[in-house]
Amino acid sequence: MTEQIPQTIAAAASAIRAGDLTSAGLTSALLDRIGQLDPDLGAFVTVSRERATEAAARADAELSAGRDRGLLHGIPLAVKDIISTREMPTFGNSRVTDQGWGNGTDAPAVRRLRSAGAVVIGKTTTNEFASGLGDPSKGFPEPRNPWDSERTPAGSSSGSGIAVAAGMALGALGTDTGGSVRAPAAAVGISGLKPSHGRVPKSGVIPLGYSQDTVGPMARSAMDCALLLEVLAGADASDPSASDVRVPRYAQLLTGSVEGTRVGVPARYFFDSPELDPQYRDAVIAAIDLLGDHGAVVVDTEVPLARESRDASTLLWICDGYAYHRRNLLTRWSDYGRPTRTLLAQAAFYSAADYVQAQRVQNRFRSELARIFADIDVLIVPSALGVAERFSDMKVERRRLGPNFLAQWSLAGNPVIAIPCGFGEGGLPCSLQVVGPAFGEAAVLRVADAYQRLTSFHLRRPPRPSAATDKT
Amino acid sequence: MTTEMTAAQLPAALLTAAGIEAPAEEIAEISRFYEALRDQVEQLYLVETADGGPPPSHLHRAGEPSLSNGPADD
Repeated sequence: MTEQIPQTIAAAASAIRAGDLTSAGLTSALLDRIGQLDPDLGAFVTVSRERATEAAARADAELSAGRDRGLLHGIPLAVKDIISTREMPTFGNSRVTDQGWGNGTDAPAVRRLRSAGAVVIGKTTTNEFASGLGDPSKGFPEPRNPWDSERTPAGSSSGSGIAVAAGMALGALGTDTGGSVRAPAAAVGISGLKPSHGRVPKSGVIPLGYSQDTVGPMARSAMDCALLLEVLAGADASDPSASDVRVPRYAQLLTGSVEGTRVGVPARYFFDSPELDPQYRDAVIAAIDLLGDHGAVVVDTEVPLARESRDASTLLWICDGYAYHRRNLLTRWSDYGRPTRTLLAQAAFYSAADYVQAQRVQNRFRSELARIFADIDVLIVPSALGVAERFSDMKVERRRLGPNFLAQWSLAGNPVIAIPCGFGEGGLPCSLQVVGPAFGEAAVLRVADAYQRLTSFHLRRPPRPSAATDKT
Repeated sequence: MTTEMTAAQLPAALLTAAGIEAPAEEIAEISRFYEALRDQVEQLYLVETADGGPPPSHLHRAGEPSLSNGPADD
């Protein structure tokens, strides 16, 4: 008999407490599913079958003994392979990584998940060091979009997105420097939260862009992201940039209501770009209209410096990444994947003055957003220009030089969630972003959750063969 | 002997100066972005970022009257 796999963490937590499901049964079903689907999808670099099975059994035993660690107790989760985990190597999808790094040590984010009872089932694929694109010649699994294997799952948290979308994990950790949680979440039709910079400690993570790196939850629903963020958030002595701003009980704040919530919609740049697919734009506008029908106050808003802030974000993280990798790039050029080395080497073209000016644009943009958020609660913008691209259509130039709706919020350090809002070309997911003020995750999650209570896009699964039985 | 460098030679020279030894085809690939990247960066300098001081556009320019110090010297 196949174990039934709930779609969400919240549903699984309820089933475990009701005695309808065990962590061991759930973990076993997910591991079977990984065995069936992952050879075609390339979501996992490492699967921790034995340790996960042991951890799940311990979780069940603890619950039987009356010890309940909370709603993540016994929930199987996956971790992006640039985040250290004590029992699995961290490759960062690179032949450059010292395989001794991170061994025996959990990053604080992983440690917090385990303390809350989560079961870590494996490490998920990423673009090399969370930058660039994949390089098949390096021998790591090639991630594919579960909705259409000829299309990209986007990156860099590709495997975490695929694992959740295809039902191989109930949630996952990703990292986001310029959109690396939200781009794959949008491409595969799940929910992905980039928290405020400093909301979740990022020590134990291979850095990319020091001033913009974040660790964020990826799951099927905004509610699940809230449950994960409650555990992940908060100061940690190992990360000087981790903030001690109070951590609310996010899940309790998700009321399902948007009555009176002021939703800013910036038409310029974010909705009027000629490159934006009309069907995709219409899906986002329909979502805004739905929120308006349920009491949200929709306000036309201007976000200045949209293009410049995106360019400043990219300049900063490329230079940060180059600073981190420079010595190895000089001596181990060919060990890096070609997309990574040619991307990071572009930092050699930027001057110190360029970097300083980008930082000053960062400060100015933060001030502009703070001013905007004095009058509204959240912004809503598309997550991408269109549905996931075919591998054969991917153009680096277009990606680097065309409009982009992700990097602005990374530069500012604001919280933002990407959630599915319909289906477009080829039946692939469309997605919108809800952006909030700094440390305003509660508002972002509340609006996203309210939308998901009115729709079911986030519960749709890719049409792939399934041996396990799904239920909502 | 001239030391003047063409725009096309500059990316390779910058990479060499940085100590990067990449194959010619990869240098060409990196170089393809050069012009566009420069355009993007120049746009950043148009953003007023004075943080309370005079924005760069208000600084005295030769041959033009200074906004803060009266007419420029002839």
